[in-house]
Amino acid sequence: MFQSRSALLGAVVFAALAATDARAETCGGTYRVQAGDSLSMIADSLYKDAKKWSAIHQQNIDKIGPRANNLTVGMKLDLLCIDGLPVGLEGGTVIAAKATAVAAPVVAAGTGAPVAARINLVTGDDYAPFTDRKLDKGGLITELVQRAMEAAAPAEGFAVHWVNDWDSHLGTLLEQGLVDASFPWSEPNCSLMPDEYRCQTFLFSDPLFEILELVYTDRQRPVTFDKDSDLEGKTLCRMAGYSIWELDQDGRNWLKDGKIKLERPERIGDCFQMLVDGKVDAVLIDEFAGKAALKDMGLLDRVEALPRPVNLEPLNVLVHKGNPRAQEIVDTINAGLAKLKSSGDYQRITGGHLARFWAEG
Amino acid sequence: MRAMFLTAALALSGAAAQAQSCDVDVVLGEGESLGALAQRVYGAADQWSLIYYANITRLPGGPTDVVPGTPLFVPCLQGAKPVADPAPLQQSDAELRFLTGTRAPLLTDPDATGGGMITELVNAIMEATPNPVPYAVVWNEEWSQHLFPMLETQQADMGFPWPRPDCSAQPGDARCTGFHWSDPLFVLPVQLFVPVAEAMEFADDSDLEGRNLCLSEGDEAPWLDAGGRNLVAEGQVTVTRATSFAACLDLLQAGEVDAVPEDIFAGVNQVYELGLRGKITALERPIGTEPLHLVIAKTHWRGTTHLYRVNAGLAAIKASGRYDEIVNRHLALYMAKISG
Repeated sequence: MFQSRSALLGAVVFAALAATDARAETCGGTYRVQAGDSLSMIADSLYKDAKKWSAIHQQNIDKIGPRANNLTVGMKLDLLCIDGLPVGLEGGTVIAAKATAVAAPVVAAGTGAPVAARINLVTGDDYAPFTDRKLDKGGLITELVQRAMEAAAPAEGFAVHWVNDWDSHLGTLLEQGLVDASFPWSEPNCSLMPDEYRCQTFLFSDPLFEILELVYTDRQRPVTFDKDSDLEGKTLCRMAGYSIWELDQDGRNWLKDGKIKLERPERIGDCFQMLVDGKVDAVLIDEFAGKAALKDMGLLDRVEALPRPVNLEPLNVLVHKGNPRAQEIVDTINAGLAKLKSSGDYQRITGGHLARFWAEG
Repeated sequence: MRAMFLTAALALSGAAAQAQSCDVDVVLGEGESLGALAQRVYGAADQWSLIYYANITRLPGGPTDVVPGTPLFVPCLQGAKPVADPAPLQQSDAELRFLTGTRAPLLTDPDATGGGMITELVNAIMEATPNPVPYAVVWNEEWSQHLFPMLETQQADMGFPWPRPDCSAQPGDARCTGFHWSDPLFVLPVQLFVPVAEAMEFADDSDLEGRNLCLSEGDEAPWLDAGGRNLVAEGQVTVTRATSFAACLDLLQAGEVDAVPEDIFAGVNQVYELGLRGKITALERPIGTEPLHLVIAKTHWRGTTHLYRVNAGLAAIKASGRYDEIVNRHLALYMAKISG
C-alpha cells in the first residue's frame, strides 16, 4: 500500500519556487468537491488515474480524516501537481520554464530515480498537555516532534498533520501508508509481550516522554487499587484508540480473562462524564492528560487519582514496519531528538510546558 | 502490672534475662520509655533509637507516643557486619543520576559502608523498584548548589537527603513549587541537647515556656511551628542563631541558651567529637522530627515517573524487610562507634 511518491516532492518544490503568472497554464490547485464526487472519481477525472485517490487523500488528510469516503460538498481539496496534472484549477502553480529549471535538480528529473517524499507525521487534539492545537506550539509532544524534525532536517522535508480520530491513526492511517508516523503512543515492553499488536506492527522512536497511567475514581464511590485483583469485576473506561495492552501485562489478564468490563468512548471527557454519572467505576489515563481534562471539566475535587499506577510507560513516535523507509524515518526522528537533547533544547521545551502545567495547579 | 512483672523477672533472673533481652520481642511496660528500655537491655539509654527504628511499623505515633503493651523487637548490637549490599544497577551510562553529599555520621558519606545508610537505602530502592533504570550516585559537597541550580537545571536528576519545608504553610517556597518530594526515606528525631549539670525538664511542650533555643544558621526547624504547635509564632520560645551546632553548644555552656535542638545522630556524634560527653546530653523526648526525602524538579521530563520509581522501590524494601535490615545494621554500627 506504499505507493511511490517520487513526483510529490517535485511538486512541492515546484510550487514553492514558481512565480505566479495568470496567463500561463497552471498545474495543481484547489478543487471544490461536487455532489456525488468520490476520491477515485476526482482522481480519474483530474489525474487521469483513479489510483491516485490515495495521493489526494494523503494531501488532504487534515480535512478528510482517515476515511476516504468522508467527503462533503464544497470541501476544498488541495491537489498537488503530479506529472503535469491536473491543469486549470484555481490556485495552481504556473508551469514556467524558469521554475522547472530550478526545480529540476532537486526532483532529479529525467533520471527516473525515486526521490523520497516528505515525511508525513500525524497527531490529534484532545490530549492536553501533550497534543492539542489549542496549546502553545500544539502541546509538549507536538513541539518536541516538530523541533526534533527541524533539527534532523530531512532533505525531503516533513509535515505534521492533525486527525482527531485517534482510533484511526494506527489501524488506518499508518497501516494504509497514508502517513508515515503517528505520535504519541506508548511502546509496550516487547521483550515480555512480543506478540502484542504494536510490537508486531510498528517501529518505535526513542522515548519522547514518560508517563504513569493512573486509575481515576469518583470520591463519592471509592475504589481501591492496592493489587490487581481489586479492579476485577469493575467497569473501566479507556478512550478509543488508546493502548489496552497494559490491561493484560504481567499476568494481569484483565481483558483476556474477562475480569473487567471496558468502555471505550472517543474523548477523555466522555470517560470522566461516565465516571461521575456512575456508568463506569474508574478511568484509566495518564496523570497529565487526566489532570488537564478534570481541570477543564471542573471535576478536580470530585475525581481523584489513586496512588498506584496501572503502568509506567514511554511516549513514542510510531512508524509502520511495512513502510519501506520505516527504519530511515525512525532514525531521522531519533537523530533529531538526540540533537535536541545535547543542545539543551529538549530540556527547555519539556521544562517550559511542565512548569506551566504544574503552576496552573 | 505487666511492667512490674517484667522488671521483677529481669532483676531476679540476671544473666538468663540478659541473654533473652535482645533479638527478641519485649513488651514495654506502663510509663516505660524507649530510653528506659534501652537502658535496661543495652545499659545505655541513648541507644533507644536502635529499638525505635527496629519497630517503626509498630510505633506509628513516633518514639514518644508508645502504647503500653506494644511488643517491641529489641535487636542485638552484636553481629552487625560492615558490609554494604551490592549495587548492580549502578553504572556510568545512568538514566537516573542521584546527587548527594556528605551528611555524616550515618546518613550519607562516600567513605562509609555503602556510602552511608541513606545511600544504601537508595541503592536498595533502585534494585527493588518495579521499573528499574540504570543509575549513578554523584557526590558533590557544595550542598548550597544542589537544589538550585544543579537539580533545578537537571545537571543531576534526583537529590537526597533533603528535609522538606512546610509546603502547606509556605506554598510559594521555590522548593515546593519547583520540586516533587518523595515519601520520607528516613525520619530523624530531633532532640534537645542540654548541660548534664542543669538539664531542663521536657515532659511536654509546656516545659518549653520561656525557653531560649539555639539553632544553627539556616536550620529552619519547621517542627517548631507545625502540626498545631506554634512555639515561635506565639512567643513561647525564643530562638538564638549561631554559626554552627558547636557554636550553639558554646552558648549553652555559657548559660546563654537553655537547649540546642539537633538531630540525634549528628548531635550525639558532635558531642562525642568535641569531647563533651558527660557534660552535654540529649533529652530523651524528641522535640521534633525531620523527615528526609528525595527530590526531583517538576520540570524534569521524568519528574513524576522517577518519583514513582523511588516511592515504589521504598515501599517494596519496607515490605520485604530489607529497609529494616539496612537501617538496623547502620544504627548498630553507629552505636558501636559512639559508645566505643
